[in-house]
Amino acid sequence: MNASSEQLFLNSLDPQWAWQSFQPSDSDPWNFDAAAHLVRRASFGADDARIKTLASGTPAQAVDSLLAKADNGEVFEQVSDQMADTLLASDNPMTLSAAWVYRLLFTPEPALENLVLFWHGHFATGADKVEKASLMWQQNRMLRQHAFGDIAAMTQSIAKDPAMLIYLDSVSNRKSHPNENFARELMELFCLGEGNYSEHDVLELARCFTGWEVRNNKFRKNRYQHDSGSKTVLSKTGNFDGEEAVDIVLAQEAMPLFICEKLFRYLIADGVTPPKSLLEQPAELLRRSDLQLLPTLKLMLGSNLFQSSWARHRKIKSPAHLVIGLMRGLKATSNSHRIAEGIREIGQGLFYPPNVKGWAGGRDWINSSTLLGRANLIRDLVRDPDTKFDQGGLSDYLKRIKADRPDAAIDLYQRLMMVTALPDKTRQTLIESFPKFGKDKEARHRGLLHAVASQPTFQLG
Amino acid sequence: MRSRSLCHSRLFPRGFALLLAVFVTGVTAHTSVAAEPDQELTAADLLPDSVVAYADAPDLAGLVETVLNHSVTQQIKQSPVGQQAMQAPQLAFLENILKGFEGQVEMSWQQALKSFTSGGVCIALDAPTQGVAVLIKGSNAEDMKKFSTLALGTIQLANNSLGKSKKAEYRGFDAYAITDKAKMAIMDQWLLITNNSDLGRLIIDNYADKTFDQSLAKNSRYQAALKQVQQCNLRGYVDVEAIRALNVAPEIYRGTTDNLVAEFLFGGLVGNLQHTPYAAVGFQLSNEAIRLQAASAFDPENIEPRQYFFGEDGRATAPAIVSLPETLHRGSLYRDLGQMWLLSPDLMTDNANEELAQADTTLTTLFSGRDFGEDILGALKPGISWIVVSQTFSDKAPLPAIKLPAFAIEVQMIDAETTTREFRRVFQSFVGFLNIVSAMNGQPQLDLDFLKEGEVSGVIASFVPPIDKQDWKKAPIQYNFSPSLAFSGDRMVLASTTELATAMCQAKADQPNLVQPGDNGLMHFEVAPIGSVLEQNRQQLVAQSMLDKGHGMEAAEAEIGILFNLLSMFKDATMQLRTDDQHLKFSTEVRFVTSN
Repeated sequence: MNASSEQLFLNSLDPQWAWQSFQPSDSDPWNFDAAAHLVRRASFGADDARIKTLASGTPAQAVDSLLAKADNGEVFEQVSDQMADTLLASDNPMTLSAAWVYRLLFTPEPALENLVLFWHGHFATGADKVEKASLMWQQNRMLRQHAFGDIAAMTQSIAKDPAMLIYLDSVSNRKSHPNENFARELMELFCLGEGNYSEHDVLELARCFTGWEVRNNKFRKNRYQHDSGSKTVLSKTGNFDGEEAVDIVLAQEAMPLFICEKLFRYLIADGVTPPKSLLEQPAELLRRSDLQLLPTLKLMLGSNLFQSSWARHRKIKSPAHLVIGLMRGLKATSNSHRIAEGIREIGQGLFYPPNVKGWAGGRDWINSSTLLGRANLIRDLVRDPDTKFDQGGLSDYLKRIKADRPDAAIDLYQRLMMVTALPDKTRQTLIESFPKFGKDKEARHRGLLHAVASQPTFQLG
Repeated sequence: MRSRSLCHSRLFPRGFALLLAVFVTGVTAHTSVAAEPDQELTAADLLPDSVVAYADAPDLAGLVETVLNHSVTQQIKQSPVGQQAMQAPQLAFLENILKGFEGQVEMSWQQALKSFTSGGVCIALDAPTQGVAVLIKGSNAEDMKKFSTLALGTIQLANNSLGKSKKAEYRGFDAYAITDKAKMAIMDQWLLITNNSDLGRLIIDNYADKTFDQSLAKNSRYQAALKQVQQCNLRGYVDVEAIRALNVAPEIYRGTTDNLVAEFLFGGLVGNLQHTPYAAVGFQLSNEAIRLQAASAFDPENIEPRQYFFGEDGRATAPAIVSLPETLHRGSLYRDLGQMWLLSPDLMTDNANEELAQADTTLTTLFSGRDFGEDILGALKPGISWIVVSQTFSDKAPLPAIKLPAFAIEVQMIDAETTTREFRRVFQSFVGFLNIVSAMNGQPQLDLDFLKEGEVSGVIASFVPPIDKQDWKKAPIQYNFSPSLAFSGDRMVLASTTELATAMCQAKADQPNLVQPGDNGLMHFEVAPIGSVLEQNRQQLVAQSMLDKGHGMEAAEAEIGILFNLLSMFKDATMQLRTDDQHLKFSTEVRFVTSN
């Protein structure tokens, strides 16, 4: 299906059917594959046992389970925060990347972390410009606090976030020279999208934020620099402050549609533009929920469209999803610094988005350089003896879960981490090559995993 | 006739045919062996005096016993890591091999080791033959024969050549080719293994003929060297003069370096290699300590151009070191910094000298046109001492997230009245410079002040605390420092904190036993305070372990716990460099915590 036919397919979709709760049938059963698809998209994949558990319930129960707070979530949060706090002493954002990788690998709430990554790409802020690790982590915690919840609160917070304001050159905003950067990005990239505001709105909105500054790495309002005159923003007129201005933007009809379109691309299919008619239902739900995200997330992840065969083949794994998915799928642990660096090298440095638009995603993840980089990164990680699988060797782990024959191992990798099975010929070649992958069983299994994870079909998520 | 006269000028060709040629044919003096082995005979008696490197273990069994029964070994065995290691399949495999061995020799492996090596084990490198020989002296010929046969069988088994080893006889002793290169001979209670037939024949001839007059044992350099490490469990000797003559690794004897710090620390040691005829090394293990020592012949006449290192008479002593509570490290060196700076053209390579010349210009500018080598470093008395102490942090000041120990350097001024002002001014300029750089990078600023406490005066600087007290709880690393320059009489102390600068100036050098006359340099580490500093940073260590290994918190805590357990086994460590009338001696001693 080429791009234009995909668009036609989307345009022809019945929104009612698309967002209806997924009802399993003989032709579309709720099984291990369906649960694995849900876990891969909603989080970063899971191991065999977890997916089996999810598959044993109903689709709705699986979605609820993924989006629910984990029993040990608070304990993990404490440990993770404590680790981050100690790392902040070095004030090195690269170290923070490793701390986030650690969270991604071990969090009991991976779906939450997946959404934090989404919002990080949405409210893109780069540590290369901000430089202060503590400010980057402060923003990251704020995103986590609101990731499933209140988009309005999150947007209000981001408007006062020192890291964001530094990144957008908005550390000072005087009434004599209103800084348009944040005002423009708030409407264009964060809330409304192009075509839903005018240049006049940008100028007027910028006036609302005058006096908003960053001093000593903290947000402050300088009342002497605030333009207290009347402004007209998006057809509303008044003596608006920044908070009121954000509320005006959030109240626009385009706002929930804009967020839902981005979520659609993140969770369901990238590389396409869903028609407005298709997005109206989740957007309306978001609006009715006072911009609380959870109901809309449940709607999307539990829908017919999400579980359709069309949607299953419509995403390319981001570097984070590729690596963290593999690690979580096989209960693997390794050096978080190395993973963070590796992910960055293939295009997704955590805390280092390429620009204010964040990561484009989709086919932009893949080019000849990053494809080779993906294979090399997987090789380095998988072949590293310090990479443990369930605290031991890969062959021992596979033996424990009865997947230590090469064909059984390939089956496991396919079930856990792949949308499409390997072509028969490729599969047969890999099985026959198994003895050549290394001098002992452990090396052979690691070599086989590397070979499978380097296949083009493995890049689909 | 000495067997050496039978040697060919080149190395013997390899292979057993030639082994036979050497060991059997062409031997005219085919005498039978001395029937009564000499119990006093040592390996050095049998080795030729042309040996250039030699190492031995006079009591290997005793050393192994000390290791196995050592309190540290016992603690490691009882630790979770040790318990885990004891379960390792490799250890079970080793135990099985030992059981098999014990069955063959009908005694425990410890008894076997004692009997097999009771007269010592040595390895030697001979220059003319370029051969290496291992000599083992057992308690009696019968046991040695038994062990040797077993060892030979094991080697053959490993080489898939059981029963195929070629055997020959030389001077009445059995000799075997154990590999293509290595040969083995049994001479009563002696076992000889060598890779060179000439050397092997020489040793056997010495033993058979009892002609020891040109042996290593009679070599005066060897005798003098071994005296320095007499009591050690492992000993080594190097004929430096012979090696220098062979032009092996000439860069070691070049006498110049491109690393100023290396020259400062080790220049005298390396310089002495240009002249010393020999060097000895020794390792000693007891229940209380591990000691590693090295000595080389030293002649104060040969110290030029390193009189800055040893003093004009070659016997200068490092300054005394002050003692403070919670000291984790302190050290003292005799070095005449001004002299070193001026002598640098003779000490450093051309490239390094070019860089030093540039640095000299910059430093001279910084010191208001005063010559850095002559006027600034030259204004200091020879000798430098330093100290590192753990810090206590007040809850009324910013608490750094990473807690570093404080450190200070002390020197003495020749003319305190003149130089105090100069150093004080430069310190203030330096703080100003730091403030500019920090401001450009958004880092905290230093606040300058003056210090006057009794006899102690100086300039102090402290980082301005963050405005928000919330930020005090996990302050940046800078808040470990309050750089200070303090003076007391002719003493000048540059310290990382004001507290340490003051304490060091006020402390008396009350540890006369630590630096002894003749100690050129000394460094001492106390493990307990090191443990305290690590404990202050335990969270950091745990976090790093979690990130590096992917551990959970419990596993990371356990791993760091092992580190602390290991540390708790050690009391302190001392490194010492000293000179006496004839030797330059370097020693390192690590003492264990004992139950006493």
